Amino acid sequence: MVGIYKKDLNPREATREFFAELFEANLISSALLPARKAGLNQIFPALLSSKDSLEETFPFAPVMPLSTAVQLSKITRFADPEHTVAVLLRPCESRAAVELVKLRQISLDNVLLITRDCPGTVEPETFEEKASDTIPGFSDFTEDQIRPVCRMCEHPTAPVADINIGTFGAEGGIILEAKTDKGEEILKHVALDAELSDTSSREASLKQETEKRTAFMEKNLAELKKEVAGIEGLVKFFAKCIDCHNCRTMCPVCYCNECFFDSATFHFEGPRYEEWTQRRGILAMPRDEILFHLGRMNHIGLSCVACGMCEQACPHDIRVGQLFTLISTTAQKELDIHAGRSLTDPLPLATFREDEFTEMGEEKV
Amino acid sequence: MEKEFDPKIVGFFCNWCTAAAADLAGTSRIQYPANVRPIRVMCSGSVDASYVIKALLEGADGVLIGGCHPNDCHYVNGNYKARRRVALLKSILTTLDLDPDRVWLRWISAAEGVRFAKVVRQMTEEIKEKGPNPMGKSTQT
Ligand code: SF4
Ligand code: SF4
Ligand code: SF4
Ligand code: FES
Repeated sequence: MVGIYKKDLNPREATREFFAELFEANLISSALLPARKAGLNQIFPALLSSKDSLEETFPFAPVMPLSTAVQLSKITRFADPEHTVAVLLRPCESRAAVELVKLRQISLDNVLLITRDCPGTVEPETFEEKASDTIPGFSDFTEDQIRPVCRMCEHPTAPVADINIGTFGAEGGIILEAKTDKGEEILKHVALDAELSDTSSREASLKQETEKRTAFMEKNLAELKKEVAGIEGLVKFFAKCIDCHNCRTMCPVCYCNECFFDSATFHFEGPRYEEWTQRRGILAMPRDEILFHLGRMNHIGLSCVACGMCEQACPHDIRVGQLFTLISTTAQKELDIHAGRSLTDPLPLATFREDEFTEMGEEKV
Repeated sequence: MEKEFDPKIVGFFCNWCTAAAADLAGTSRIQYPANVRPIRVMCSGSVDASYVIKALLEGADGVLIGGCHPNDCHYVNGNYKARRRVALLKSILTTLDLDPDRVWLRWISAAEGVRFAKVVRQMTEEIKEKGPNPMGKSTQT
């Protein structure tokens, strides 16, 4: 089912109304939504127990301090299936959540997954500068303030959801679309203004947005590719890296409790350093940051959802999210893997097909 | 006269096949260049890409991963998983212009001492042609 909801309201108000209806009809017992933190101009996900605090929520605030997918993995651990929690995610958060479900880090058993279209986000600092008594919206920012990963994002709407809240192609209010049986069941209880039988203008709007982003991506990544080419390019790109691993910490799909790159595998004893120094003449410290980045690309390149949380977390503004977008979109295309596409896709690195890369390893001598 | 470039190749050899093939080549006195530093692993599927990258950054001119032929892996399908991982590694190396052809994956069974020697010879020649690996030359890595 697809329908227009509250066409006289703006998307923020319409979405608050929609969640209020879900609470009123007892369809959910809590909701996870972006909200003002302690009355400040910081927007973080918050869990709500009723419709009473919905005025504090800002479902479309164009800022993402962290990926809500990670918070979802916390609240769904051993969750009680009797208590449904509705979560509102952006497309990249939904796609990260799908990867985490595949990795068994999230269970969606008690979750009503609601996604919303996303025109893009700005860096938290940019957002903070603009925020005053009012919380700014997407249109309060210029195009070049939008994060480059967002301007390259080919998913303005989420592939996986129970219900999607559409804004592309909406002329007033929001477009509610049920995408699963669970979503259909819920929408039966919601008072739509009208069913939307013809979705062609929404599709056209999404197509136009995607094409614009693809064009920017191709241009931006082609330049980046030139810039990082070869080991000199890569070393230069990461020249300011302090090996802090913030990028990994904030990456939603790097889920390991202990990262391989923090493990004893990379703890060496003094004599080894002495040996390397004597052999090389000069040894840059810390030792392994290029290895860390290349290794992480290999660990999560096929699950990367190009959300840019890594880049946003980097204290030295290294464009690590754009670099991961470059390698992951390329590799996912080549290996026919689509991160975040479907809950039933197999895990990319734990599976294989007998009929893929069959020439590899067999080369005649 | 300038000293001829003598490539260093790190070999990750599956215990059940390629490592045995290396032993066989040795005991059968099949000649092959001594450029490979072998590391015995329990399965080609246990070779994390990080080990390959570490070797390349630490001065290896090439890395050879040797595993059991498809359907012969001791752990059922470790070699298929290795194959996909090497495909990913090569994709990443290609995107970053880091020469994917310095990483070789070859299926070499325990009986294939001759194939082992030929692979090592061929790889040594091709890497010689390429010259030293710039990844290991950078003082910053
Ligand atoms: S590597 Fe960066 S862009 Fe990719 S999923 Fe992780 S945080 Fe997002
Ligand atoms: S880099 Fe690899 S080992 Fe570290 S957290 Fe990410 S996936 Fe896990
Ligand atoms: S967050 Fe930035 S500085 Fe820290 S490890 Fe990642 S790239 Fe390097
Ligand atoms: S046991 Fe040899 S490749 Fe798996």
